[in-house]
Amino acid sequence: MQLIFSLKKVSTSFILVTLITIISSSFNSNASEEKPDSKKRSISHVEDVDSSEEPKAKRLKVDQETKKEEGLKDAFYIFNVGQGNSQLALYAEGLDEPFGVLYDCGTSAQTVSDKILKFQSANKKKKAFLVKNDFSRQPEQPALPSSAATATSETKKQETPPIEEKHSTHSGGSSPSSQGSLSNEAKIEKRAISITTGIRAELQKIKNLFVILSHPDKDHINLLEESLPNNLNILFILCGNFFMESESDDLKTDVGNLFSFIEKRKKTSNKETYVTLPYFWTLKSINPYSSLRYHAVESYVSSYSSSNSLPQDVDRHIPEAYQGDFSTFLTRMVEVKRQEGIKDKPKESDNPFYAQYIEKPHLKDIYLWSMNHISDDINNHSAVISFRMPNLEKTFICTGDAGPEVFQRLQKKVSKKSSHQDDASMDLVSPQEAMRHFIDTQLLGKSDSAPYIVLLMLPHHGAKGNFSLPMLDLFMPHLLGISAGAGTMYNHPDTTLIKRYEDEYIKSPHLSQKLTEFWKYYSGDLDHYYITFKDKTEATPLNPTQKTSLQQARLNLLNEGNLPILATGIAGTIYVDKDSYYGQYISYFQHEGKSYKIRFKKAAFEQDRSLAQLMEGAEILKNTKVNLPNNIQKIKYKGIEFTRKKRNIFDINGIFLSADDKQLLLPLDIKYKDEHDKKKSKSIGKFYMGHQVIEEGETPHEKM
Amino acid sequence: MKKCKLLFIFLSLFSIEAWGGLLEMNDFEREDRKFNRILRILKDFYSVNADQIKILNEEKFFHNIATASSRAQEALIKIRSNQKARITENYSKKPQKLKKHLLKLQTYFEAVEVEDKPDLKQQVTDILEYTKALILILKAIWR
Repeated sequence: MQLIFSLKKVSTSFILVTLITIISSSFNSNASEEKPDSKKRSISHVEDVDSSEEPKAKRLKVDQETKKEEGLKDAFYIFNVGQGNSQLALYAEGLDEPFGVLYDCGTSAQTVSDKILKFQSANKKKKAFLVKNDFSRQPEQPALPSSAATATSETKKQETPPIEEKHSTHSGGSSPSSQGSLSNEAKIEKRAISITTGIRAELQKIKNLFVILSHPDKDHINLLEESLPNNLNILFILCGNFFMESESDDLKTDVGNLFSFIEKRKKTSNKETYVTLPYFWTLKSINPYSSLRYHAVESYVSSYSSSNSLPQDVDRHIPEAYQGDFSTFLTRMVEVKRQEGIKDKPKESDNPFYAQYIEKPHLKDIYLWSMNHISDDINNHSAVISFRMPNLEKTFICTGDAGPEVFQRLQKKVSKKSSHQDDASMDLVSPQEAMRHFIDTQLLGKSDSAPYIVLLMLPHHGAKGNFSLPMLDLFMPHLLGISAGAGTMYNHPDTTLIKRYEDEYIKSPHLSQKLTEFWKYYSGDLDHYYITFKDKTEATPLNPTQKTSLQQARLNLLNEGNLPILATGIAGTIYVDKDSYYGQYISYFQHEGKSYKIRFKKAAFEQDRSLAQLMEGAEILKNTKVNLPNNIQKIKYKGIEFTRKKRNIFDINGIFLSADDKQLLLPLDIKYKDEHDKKKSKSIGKFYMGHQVIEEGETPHEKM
Repeated sequence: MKKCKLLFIFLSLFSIEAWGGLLEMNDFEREDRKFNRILRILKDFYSVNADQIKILNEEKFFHNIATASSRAQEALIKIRSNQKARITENYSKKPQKLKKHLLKLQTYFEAVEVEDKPDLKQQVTDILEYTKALILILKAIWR
């Protein structure tokens, strides 16, 4: 009896201890998921302890780091860096040590408005706007009685009054003055640190990173220092001629800062740091005209000082164009180092972190299409790289600022390469088919559920003049991506460029088939809006002989059946996993240092030039069509008086602001199908309502 | 502390504003009469909850929602707790907002003229049926 009692006691204690352990471990794991910073602190605390003498602490460190990587999945990110470029391919599944490839990390906007970025980075939840279809389920039809209509009408009568959407207001901020822009503005001295918050957060999840900088341009390189956490082993791959003469002092400073950062990291970080500049690689088989020694280039970067003179013969150097997978690239890099007699410095490991990946299939999924392209235009130095991600059944192509000539040359090169394939089965096919086979082998993989979906990042943020048919024919993407956090700086993306791509997808059967394929497997859930810009000149109202340069902003919606364009302008950072494409969706318009949240779902009112013109100070009713002439300065909407401001920004209509600056009316064009002729499209001008948003840490209550 | 609270309220407000409205029609859908998205989201609800809808049909719930049988009530509880449908996921904490959007949909689709477009006519009929039934379900769940 006593024995039974003791056993019961023991088992109860055991259960209690087990429960406590489970609860505490689950609490720790939850906390670690939600508060990476606090976990980071605990890890660094452990790091302070001498690990050789404290096996327990070491175990704890390993355990915590392992937990950190638990459940990490492959993913692709298009970061919102305002007017700039940054993408991350995260490979985790099937690897002991996950790794990432960060393609570019820079912005030209000196700030994307601190408060807007704080709002965006606070908005950690992501919502899917494109979702993979689930064909396994069928809806059950509800059996409504014939009187259901009456019943619902009654419900309508009993309905409580609609909840008015609340808009927080604030009487004005102390932010620097800025012109109207969607979420982005420049001309401010201090860069907003928070632009990199999202990038840092994702990079905290891994230990090993390859940083590929597409070309030396500030909006592709200048955010690195702020974005990279200290816990990473990094190999920097600097593509293009980083020593090219530049008239831009800003660029010189940014390149100098980058070299200084790499040098500092090499000296001070306890993690591995490597750098390579493939544009200057010299191999015995090539470039007999140059006496450049590559180790001079690497040591220049590694001991950078603005007073240092450039390595000898850097100007006469002719690089060898490179095309191949990332694994071969790294093998070659090791060979260059060996030939040049570059030895690892004491802080660099004899077994560098990247060596463990060289034979992994993951690196063979990364293909460098164009590298070391020689051009007077630095944009054309951009490396074009595809990331096949089998676990996502998707491929992503990053293009930097590569211009049309890059893709023309690439097309010729691929055509030549594919005709020399050793594959015996290729003997009987046409050169076009051989080329297609070659490209698809790099881009696509085997999938049971759906075809691989190819997303191509449009070069140069979708800038005017970057249209490239060879690019479409080569990669035949299902979707186009645009990294342009909007803003008035350069007006990217361009409305006419997007229209040309859309037209091409309608008229070319091979491209239109890609759309059919995509929309068969994916559907649009939430509205994914993006703004495009068109420059136009119009006569100045007061002096018709003078021409004014204007921007016409168009609101676009990702529409089923049409060419899907994913843009960071309104969506913020775009995140892609196996089943969905997600955005952050906080859409602000910035005007005179104040931020306004715009409701894009429904316009306040519509412009219709066929109607009788409104008079000065006229009242406009909600959801109506009006003819608002350009000379009118004041209108009333919802009982509030609005005054026209900044006529040359956002179209000839300008923006209408309320007297207290709390509300604005923003003019945007939208395009829709002509009801009588579906092949034609019509453009209509609409005004969208914006409400000023409250600033963090400052509220009307506190002001009182 | 006060600041933290205020910030929290503020951020929550924005989350709701930014993501609510799965069933709200946008200007493009109205101009182009594209109803696929709305229909698909509604269908998703009736697919995810197919077993429960079947029970509600069998129990003639839609004929008189005031006297729902215990089996129907059980099905309603399951519908409420099943977060897999995009509608439930999006509106689970905002039933009033869902009701408002459903009523707006009903008003719009009862008035929209599609007599000359047979393909759209069927879509409108389906949307109306799904919307009306969902209003009834909502009324029973959040009574």
